[in-house]
Amino acid sequence: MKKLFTIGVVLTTILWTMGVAAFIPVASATALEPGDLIMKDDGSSSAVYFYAADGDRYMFSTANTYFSWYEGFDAIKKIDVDDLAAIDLAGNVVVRPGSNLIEFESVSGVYAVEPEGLIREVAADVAEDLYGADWADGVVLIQDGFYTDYTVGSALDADAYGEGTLVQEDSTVYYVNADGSWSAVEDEDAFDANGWNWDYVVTNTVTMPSAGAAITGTMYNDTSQGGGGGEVGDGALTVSLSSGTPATDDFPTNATNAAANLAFTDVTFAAGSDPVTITGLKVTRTGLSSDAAISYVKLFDDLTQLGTSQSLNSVHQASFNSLSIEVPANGTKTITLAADMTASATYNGNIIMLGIDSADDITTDASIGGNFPVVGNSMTLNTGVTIGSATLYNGPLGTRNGTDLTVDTDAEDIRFVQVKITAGSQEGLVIKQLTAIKNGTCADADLENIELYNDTTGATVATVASLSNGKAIYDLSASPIEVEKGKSVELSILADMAGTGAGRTATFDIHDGAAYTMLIDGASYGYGITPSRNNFCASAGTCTAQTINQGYLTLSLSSATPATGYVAPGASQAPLLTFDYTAAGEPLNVTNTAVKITVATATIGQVTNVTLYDGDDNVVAGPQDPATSGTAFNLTDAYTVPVGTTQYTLKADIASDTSSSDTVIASMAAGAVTAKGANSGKTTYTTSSGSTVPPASAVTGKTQTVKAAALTVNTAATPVAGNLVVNAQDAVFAYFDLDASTGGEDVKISSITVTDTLGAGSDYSGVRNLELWGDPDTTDGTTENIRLETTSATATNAATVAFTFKNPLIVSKSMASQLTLKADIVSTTGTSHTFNIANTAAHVVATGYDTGNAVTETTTGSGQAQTIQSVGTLLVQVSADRPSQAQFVAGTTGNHLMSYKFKTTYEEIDVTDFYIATTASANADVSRVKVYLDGELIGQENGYALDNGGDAHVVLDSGTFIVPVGPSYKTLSIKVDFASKANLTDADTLEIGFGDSDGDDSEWGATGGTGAGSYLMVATGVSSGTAIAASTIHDDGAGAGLVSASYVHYLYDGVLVASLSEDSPTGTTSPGTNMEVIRLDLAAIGDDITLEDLEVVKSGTCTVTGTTVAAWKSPDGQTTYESFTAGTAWLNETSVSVSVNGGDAFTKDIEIPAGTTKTISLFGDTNGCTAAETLGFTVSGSDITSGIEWENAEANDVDAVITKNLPITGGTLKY
Amino acid sequence: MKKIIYLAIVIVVVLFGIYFVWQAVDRPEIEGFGDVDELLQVNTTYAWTDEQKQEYEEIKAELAQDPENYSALLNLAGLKQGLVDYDGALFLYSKLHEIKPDDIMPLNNMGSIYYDTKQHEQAEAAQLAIIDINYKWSNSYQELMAIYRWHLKDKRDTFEEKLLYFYNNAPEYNETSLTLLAVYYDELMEDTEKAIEWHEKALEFNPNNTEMETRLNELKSQ
Repeated sequence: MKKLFTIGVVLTTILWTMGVAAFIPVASATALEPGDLIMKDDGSSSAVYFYAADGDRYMFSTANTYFSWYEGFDAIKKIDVDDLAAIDLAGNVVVRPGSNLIEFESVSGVYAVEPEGLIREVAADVAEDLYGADWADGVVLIQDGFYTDYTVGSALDADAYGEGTLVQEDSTVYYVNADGSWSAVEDEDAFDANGWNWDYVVTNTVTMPSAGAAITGTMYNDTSQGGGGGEVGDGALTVSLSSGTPATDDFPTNATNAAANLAFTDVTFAAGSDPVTITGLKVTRTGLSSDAAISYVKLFDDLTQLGTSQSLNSVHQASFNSLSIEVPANGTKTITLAADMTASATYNGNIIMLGIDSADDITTDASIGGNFPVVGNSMTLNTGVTIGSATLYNGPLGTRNGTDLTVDTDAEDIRFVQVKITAGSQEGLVIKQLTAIKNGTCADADLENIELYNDTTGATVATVASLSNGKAIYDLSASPIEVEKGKSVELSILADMAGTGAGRTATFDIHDGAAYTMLIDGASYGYGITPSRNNFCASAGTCTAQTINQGYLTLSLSSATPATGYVAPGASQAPLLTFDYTAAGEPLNVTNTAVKITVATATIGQVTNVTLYDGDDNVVAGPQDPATSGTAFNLTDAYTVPVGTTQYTLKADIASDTSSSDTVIASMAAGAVTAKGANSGKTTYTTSSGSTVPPASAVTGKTQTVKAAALTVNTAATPVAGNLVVNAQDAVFAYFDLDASTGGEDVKISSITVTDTLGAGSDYSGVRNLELWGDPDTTDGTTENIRLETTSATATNAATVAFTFKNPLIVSKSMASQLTLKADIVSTTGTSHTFNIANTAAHVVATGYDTGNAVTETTTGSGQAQTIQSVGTLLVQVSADRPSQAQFVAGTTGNHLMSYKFKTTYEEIDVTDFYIATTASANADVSRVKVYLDGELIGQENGYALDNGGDAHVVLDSGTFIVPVGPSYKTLSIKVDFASKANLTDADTLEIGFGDSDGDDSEWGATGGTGAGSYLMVATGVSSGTAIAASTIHDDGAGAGLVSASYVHYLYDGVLVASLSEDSPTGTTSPGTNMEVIRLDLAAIGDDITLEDLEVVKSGTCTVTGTTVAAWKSPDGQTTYESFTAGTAWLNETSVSVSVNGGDAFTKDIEIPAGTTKTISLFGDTNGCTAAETLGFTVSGSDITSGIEWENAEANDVDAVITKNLPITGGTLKY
Repeated sequence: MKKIIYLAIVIVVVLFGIYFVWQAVDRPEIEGFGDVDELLQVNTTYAWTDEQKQEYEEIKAELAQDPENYSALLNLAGLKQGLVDYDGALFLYSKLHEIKPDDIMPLNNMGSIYYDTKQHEQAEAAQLAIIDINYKWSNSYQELMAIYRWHLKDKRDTFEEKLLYFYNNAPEYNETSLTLLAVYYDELMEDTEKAIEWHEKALEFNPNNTEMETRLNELKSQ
């Protein structure tokens, strides 16, 4: 039978799906989404599954079950067999709650289905009452094999529908909730969103109960019935037990110590496409336990406690209000339900569970879905083990813990609280989180940089820049503070005041009103420990609030106060005194400002409308007329001084009938300002706790002397007399200084006339387009130098040119102004032009800016003549570091031979063409010539070859070689690459330089000297565009001049460079035979070198008597090049020489291969030298041409001074 | 027909043989330099002068006789340099410098290539290496003067010691070293006091240096 039953079940399953298979589309596993209906795609029949949000699949065991949820097959997806197998089969789908009544094959009774397969028997009469007379038509059969998918609950009564039933009352459809309330389905969209079937809606026959939250979106489409839930619909929140909820455990607690912050349940909230905010939550205790076992229930988001600790009420619930748990759209948030246990042994063995009983226990605007209750695993209390303890004391530095020491608004690093936490003897402590909660009347913004400081280690643990909802949360999980058992740690909460909050109070508690806000675990057992207070702050958990002191005000003379100077008669609101208000702690309301005006000579009545202005020039107090000179009078208008430093200025009107030299002084006496704190309402002093009314001392402005406007106009001494070139644009001809400081007000200038004095004639046409440039207003705080627009043209030239300004110039009495006169030069007509502003009436038309009164004008300066030149001049001079005479080697490149210095007068000059000339014989010796301008190669990259005349023609692009106006100059260097040995003529000489007027060397002086002439060059004035006359291109630039070339240089296939070896003997020595007295390095460069002559000359005080052999040898003595026979005191001779040319011969030729260095030494008998005597040898000749002679492979004997490298002086030997 | 086939086979074999033999023949190489034929390649876009062509043939002949002819290799480097094949020239000079480290000619010419191609750090290094080998090579001081005056301006202070050593230890070059020191203190170091001192020394050595005299007067009038 059992087999038959089983077969029947299987057959039923198979049969109902066979018809399904034909209609199913194909999908891939990767395309699945929670809520999909799936079956395998193997061409055979297959069961249909619900793909749940938990990633598992739930099987529709019967057709009736399927059709209680869905009407057709269109939504079913086929997936690969392997893909299906990869999805865990978690269970069977049960008949949808509120749909059909069900019955089983062999189980009596008809049942209504509620969520999660709870079935409740419905008696026939009850069914008729609830569902109508034809209720039996809706009963479907479920095979016995699936009976165990259901749980039997209590029978239904006729006065209430089962949960999940859809009941219609009038036109509204209601969903029956678990608590019996009915939730109205808002509209058809909400009905369809939940996938309901109108066939299952019953007409109400009972009394409507209370209303639940309306159903506005998808909430009840969890086909898996708690196995993962369906897709969360829009505007909805789904609640479920987190897969990571703590496992069943024993929690330690006894009369000695109670565990704290024990995590019972993790609840996951999932939002749909809209974010959800949870503002309230009720946590229910269940299980075989007592409410009293729990001291407080807590909510945690990871390590952060949400809200405040709550105790259980009479219905075993802890209510959390004023929460703000944010669940992101399409995201989740997991909250931990935790608790502190009661320190008691009474509750040993209590089994406690915490959970959320129903959706009604969640306060949110979203519609709530999920399977309630959401309850975690049970935890059992165990009193058998005593866990550790954490005792709180006042720290030694915690003077503010219990005392209000007040605090200034600008104080920093205030230690508000210090707690000493002591670990008990059972185990050490691990402090992994601490929350400092602001207490007092201050705002969060009044405190900043809240620092948790470990006084024990002397280190800052963490700093929170600003409070968040009154809290500073320190997550120490990454690096917790560890306290060994029996030991302590002292922690402080410090903070900076933000400059506000005067009159308020502030402190920090580590207690939320119910429990301490610290997460402390035992180091050994790992359970949370409830801190206990010894004497830390108050027993209620509060520490003493600190009063924030009131604000204060100081006043001082500002650096911007008007300097000692002048005010104009008739001036309106002339500034007399500027002072700085510095307010700290809070804005300050000033209600009275006492000021004084002191006059001398003038009457007090001539100073009126004394007004106080703020930094934006707004009136804040006044006007008032002073009654008595030197006596304070009050400006009683109220104004508020903001926190910080602000400038205020006292101004007044000066009567037009005041006399010159009348004086006015504004001042404020000590204590002149009456003010109160805008926040604190307390009287303002100069310090937060003082009693001195501001200002602490009198503030006095500078003496202002009455004086009419004055203006000094001076034609400056620059530009000095000089030269300008034709075609120059915007050439500067003059500067005009304008100074109004000797008057009492700023000056307004409407026109200026300039005068042009010619050097010759009366034709002014050489200069055109006159312009004046300068700052149009020196009172506005911005500095400009712009062309000043005029109402009349200044393009015409004339003896006088008037500039009538479109907008008058404003010259500040406290800041001078300078104008620049510019013009274009079109010709040399007039020879020179001298511009000035003449001391002529109406050449400067000016009035007082405030008063419009006449200005006393003083005009000085005659200007300087600027001579107009038609073209600049070009000077080409020998550079001071022109290379000296030298020897050069064939095949070498980059040899410096010559350099010139180029300068101009009047204008820049563009050099584009010149010649490099050499002495005629050098043609074949030179491979290439290169030219460098200020160290940069110019012209052809590979240089220039010499023509048959030994010359090269250099042509440059315009702009390549621009010579500046003196004293700046350019250096042009000439370098030569010499031909190889095969082409260079050994012992040739070479001079090189710029080609003269013929482009060659004919005008050069001898051996680098100068000769009369000029250089053949093409040069053009940059400004004038005029070619420089070639005949003037020489060292003088004008008239007749001189030309120069390089020194005579010597060219060889190879050269000898002889030098003293660094190992040549020197210093203290002893006399003896075969002593080394001098060592030489002989380097052959470019060619093999053979030494021909070698001579050394003796010096020193020693008289050598030794007569043994002297010789030139290698330093090691192994090779002898020449011996001098015994019998002669050779080292006492005037000179010791070997002269091949003189008929001598070296025993062994001194031959130095090219590119190598040979070292030779002179050895000899130095006996005869006595103490304190000296001996030395120098390679030189008894006449200038001997000493060293050598020949290279060309066998040319080289005996020229320049090639001899002489003298070479050996070291002084001392005996 | 058979004969024609045999003939074709023989021809093919012979041709292959020639190829293999050609491949097997030693082509000249210089140790450390590489293949001579490759060395003789000159990469240039400039036109050869007749002198350069002739010189090239001479070099080829010399290297054919002796691939390690130092002088010929030096001339080849100079030829490449003259035709602005700077990479080829630098390669040869650097190899020649390895062979004869005390020969300043490769260093001298490398220095001028580096200077012209604006590789001033390398140019400086080459000139410093020269005066390290032979402190009397006066052109190196001229080159260093130009390098520090126009280019490596932040290293000017390092030149003083070398200039003073040159002055103190090569009296035969005093005219050169004096003018260089005078301009060094004047233009490079802007030390008016020392500039005056060395201008005076230079003029004492050569009273005919009118440019030095003019500048001395300008310095004294400052």
